[in-house]
Amino acid sequence: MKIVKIEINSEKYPKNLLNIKNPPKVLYCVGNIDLLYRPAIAIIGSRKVSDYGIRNCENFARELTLRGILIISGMAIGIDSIAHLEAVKLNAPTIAVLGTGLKHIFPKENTSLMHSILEKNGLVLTECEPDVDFNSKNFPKRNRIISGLSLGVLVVEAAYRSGTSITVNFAKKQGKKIFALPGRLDLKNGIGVNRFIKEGAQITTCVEDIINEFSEFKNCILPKDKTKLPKDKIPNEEILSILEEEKNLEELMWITKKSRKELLEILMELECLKLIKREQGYKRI
Amino acid sequence: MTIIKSISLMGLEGIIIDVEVDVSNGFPAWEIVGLPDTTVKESKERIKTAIKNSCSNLLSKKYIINLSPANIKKEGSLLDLPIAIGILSEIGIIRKNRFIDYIIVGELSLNGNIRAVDGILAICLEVKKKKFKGIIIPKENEEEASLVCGLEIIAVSSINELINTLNKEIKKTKTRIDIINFKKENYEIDFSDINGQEDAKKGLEIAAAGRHNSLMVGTPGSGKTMMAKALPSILPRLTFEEILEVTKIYSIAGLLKKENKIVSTRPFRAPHHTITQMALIGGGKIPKMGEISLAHKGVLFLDELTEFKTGILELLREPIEEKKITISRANISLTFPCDFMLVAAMNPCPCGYLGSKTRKCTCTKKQIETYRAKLSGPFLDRIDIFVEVNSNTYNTSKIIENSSQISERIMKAQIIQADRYKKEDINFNSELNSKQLKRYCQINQKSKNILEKLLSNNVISIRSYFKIIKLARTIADLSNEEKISTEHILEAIHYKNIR
Repeated sequence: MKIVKIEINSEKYPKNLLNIKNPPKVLYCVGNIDLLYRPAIAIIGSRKVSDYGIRNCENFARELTLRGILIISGMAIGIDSIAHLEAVKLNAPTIAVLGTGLKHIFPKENTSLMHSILEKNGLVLTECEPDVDFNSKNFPKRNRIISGLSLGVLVVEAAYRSGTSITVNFAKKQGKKIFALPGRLDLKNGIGVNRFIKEGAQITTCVEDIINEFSEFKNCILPKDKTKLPKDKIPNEEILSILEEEKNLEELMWITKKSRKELLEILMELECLKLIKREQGYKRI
Repeated sequence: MTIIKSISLMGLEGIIIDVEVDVSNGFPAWEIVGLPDTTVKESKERIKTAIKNSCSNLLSKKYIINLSPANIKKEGSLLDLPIAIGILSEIGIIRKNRFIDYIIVGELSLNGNIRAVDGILAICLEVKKKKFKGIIIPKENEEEASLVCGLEIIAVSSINELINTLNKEIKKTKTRIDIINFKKENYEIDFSDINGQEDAKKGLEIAAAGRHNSLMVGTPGSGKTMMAKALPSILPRLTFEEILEVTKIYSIAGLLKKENKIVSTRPFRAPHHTITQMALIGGGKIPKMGEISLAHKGVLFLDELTEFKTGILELLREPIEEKKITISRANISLTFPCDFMLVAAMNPCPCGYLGSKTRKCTCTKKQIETYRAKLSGPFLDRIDIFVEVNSNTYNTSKIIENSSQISERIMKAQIIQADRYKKEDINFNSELNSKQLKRYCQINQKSKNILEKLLSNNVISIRSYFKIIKLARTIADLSNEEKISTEHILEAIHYKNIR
């Protein structure tokens, strides 16, 4: 693992970061440094994610990556990891900004994720010396780098007071555009995002909402062979809406008056499409 | 000197013991040699007093008793009677050579009565195997012993009665036990007593039919334990061979009840989760059987599965596969049978209320993960059916079947299986290996497509793939259909855990 040190007065130092308040004096990078000069979108959000958050984060990260847009995130558990992982799955590079030194990956379980990011020609960077271990003070600070490196910030899920709101505040001060997915009203994680929307963040329902904001992404269109998910062709809307709340098979039979066989077939299909999951009963993701 | 034949049990095996008695003039003494344990050593007081109270006072002479082979530790009170008979014949009260072809076992009480001993059935079977003419046993053990055909059984209740029998003509007793009588079954809970839970009932029915190990998951109070208690009522009856096998085990373990000397219903063992390794698997200096062997041919029910110590559950892995357990200790290594069906129950999360409509689950995702991680992969691998037991349940069909109706269907399904596998050395669908699976479980193209779709979407693993087919085979057998249809496959997917 070769660590490249980029100092603030170096030519290689990304211009984006020079424009922010209190830019990091030095960046320790591993991987593909060229990514620093590409336009990128940060995906941020809660560490504790709901199924709704996971599904939407996956969708947006996939759609952005398929269009060739670079994703930046913090490689924490939750939304960060999901966003990185989606890019890795599509063999696309992504940037991870750490809050620890490069010799101390935090959280440990993401070590393998970091390796796969590097394998896919991605970039991992931090302003901490390689030997710096976990220190909770460093994490809010690294958030300014995430927002600083990106053109805009996409918030997937956030509680009322959270690390995500720190990043959003940095982004606001740095004059970056903030995008927020509408949050669920009945979830703790929905409260934060909905507040950002109230305070002026752009409400985002599809990737075009993001792309159309930036001239840099003018040419970013979906490659023809990668067809969109058949989003508007969800089979059995009726059952899916019943499954908003967890239901077991007997309840479903009772409500829908369908036969066991019919229901099992429908449920199996929905499960294949990853629209529902099984916990105690069946539930929409 | 007189030699009397007796027997001692080592696990399920019998070892013939020669009881040699010699009474001679000399300094009065009483010695038992040949590795007797405490119960055998103590027997001298019982024997002396019993003989005194029955026929005659023993003279002060030198009594030497040798138990051969001398290198095996003898235990149990069943050697009382052979020693007493040896002495009686040595002092001339019983005619010699009356009992050459007979094995003698029994415990004495001080007044000369003969008391029951454990393991009579196993003893009789061994005696028959070793080609003896007959066996002299305590009267109380008679019913149990009469299960063995082709062996002369002489049941006596006291020393005096035995002396009379031996001195006149040996008369074999004729009791035939009426097995049909014992089959009167009385279960605590019938399936028709359970309201709703049709999904879970069906799951257990499939499990019982194909002898699939199953796991019930549900919130507290949803009825898991009740379902488990009702399970014995749908299990098919024991065959005569199975009755022999199970009764033998219970007889050796000393668990036969006074009023019911034969085990005619399938065992249902539900050990508490604080059980120790040895009590579950079997063990001890001279290994004794554990719960898994007592559940032979029946059900081992583990309630609150996640509360068992992890190490203990892992011990079950081999016995589940092998259907027998070999316990090795420094002196001896014994093999016990343990062909049981595992049924377990647990809550979906530590607080218990995940998925409940009445109470909110308070567990974090991490807590739930840790809770589920208590069950190791290899252990879960041996479980075929995952049954959800829900507290919010509905009667979706109009007719509620009772246990005997369900039991009949299961019996038919098992006959179908036995018939299909008559050329193989298996009896149930759950035992199919991958080669046999290919041979006996063909599925149609549509089913194949469904499974491959699930597989390619990472909803199921390749191992689940084969388990689903096995389950579908049982479901098809239950509905008496020769071919596995798509409906059966879908049903099997429902009962396979996909988590």
